Amino acid sequence: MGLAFTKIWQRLIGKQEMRILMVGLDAAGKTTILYKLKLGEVVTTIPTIGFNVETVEYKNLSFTVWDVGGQDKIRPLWRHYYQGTNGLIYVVDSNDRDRIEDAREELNKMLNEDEMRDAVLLVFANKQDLPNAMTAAEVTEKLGLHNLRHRQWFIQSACATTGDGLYEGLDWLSRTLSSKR
Amino acid sequence: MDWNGLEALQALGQGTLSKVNDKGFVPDEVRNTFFRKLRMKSENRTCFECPARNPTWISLTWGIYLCLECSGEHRRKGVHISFVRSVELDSFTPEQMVQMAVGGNGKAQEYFKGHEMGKLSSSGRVADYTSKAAERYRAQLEADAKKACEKLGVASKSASQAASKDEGPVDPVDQAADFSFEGPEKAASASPSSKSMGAQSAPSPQAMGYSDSPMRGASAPAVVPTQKPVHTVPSAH
Repeated sequence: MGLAFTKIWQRLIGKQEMRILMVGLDAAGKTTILYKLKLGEVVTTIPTIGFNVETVEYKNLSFTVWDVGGQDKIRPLWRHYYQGTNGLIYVVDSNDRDRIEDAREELNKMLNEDEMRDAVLLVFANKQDLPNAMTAAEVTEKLGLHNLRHRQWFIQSACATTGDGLYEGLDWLSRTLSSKR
Repeated sequence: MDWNGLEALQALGQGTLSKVNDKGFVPDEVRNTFFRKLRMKSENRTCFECPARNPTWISLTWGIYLCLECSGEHRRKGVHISFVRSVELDSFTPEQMVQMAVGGNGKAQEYFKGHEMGKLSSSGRVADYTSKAAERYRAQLEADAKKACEKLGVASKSASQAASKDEGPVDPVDQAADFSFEGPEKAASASPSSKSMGAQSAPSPQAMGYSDSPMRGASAPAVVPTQKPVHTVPSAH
């Protein structure tokens, strides 16, 4: 009885905790996004060797965001972060047309993992400030998002340095994850 | 140049560069042997931008070696200006190795110094990678790499693109000798927009396990705040 009450109480006023994994190719802007969300400012980043983790409170949710390095050789480490992931944030450098196919491959590999079966997918089409950036529609098509089955997904064009799009993405995540509970 | 960077490629042995995996990357041992040799050159033992020693990051675009901090600076420019890789944490295609073999800090420094840019120039002005002079160097390096690829029998992307674009046979010598700058081949088409799209494909409602166990692979946070970070959490904007 007490436990049930606690659960209801938590649902009413408490922050639900969500585990978010943020990955993507190197230099996509993952760390910049993480600290823009956490601190509200643009930090001077260097390539992430390992990971960063921060808790971001937004609306009724508490997101624990894991930002994992994206260099070729450390991508196999991503799988160690899969377990218990509620939401996957996949960050794409919309300016990097040469590597969008790599981005698609890495994403598909990850979504095929059993541990990621229930994770919802938010794609940030980042670096929209750059002159030759692909639109969200182009990124959608090149990542093959329309072919995804049994997956709730959303793509948001973003610019991490100005913060454009980031909260729109979080809005979707919080709405989608809240309704899943 | 004390010795030709291409020797480092030739020293790998005949046929080594054709042994690539399904993604077109050479094995790690080949990458390591190659970069060990090139990084031994004194010009490459200091970061192109700053005095830091033994840089392990590179800008493929410019064929230069960078320290971790300066690699961050280059990444901020965008891949259309500088494509950054790690010689330890990334994989390389033979073509990319050729690019590094014909490039190097010495060659780039000499050029930029001649145009009053870079840490060795009298002005000490930081290199402007979007300047006309820089564009010429980039085009020259690309042409040198293409020429070397042909010599070594390495398939190059720029060569195949050129071949499909141009009609008739292409004279490799003529091509390689032509240093005239050809603008970025990527055609401008997209304009920034903040539209978003979404889809809801039938989710299977299943209980989700939530574990918050500590993760492996710890390292220092790879972030250097520009100012002292103010730890205020942004609420709804």
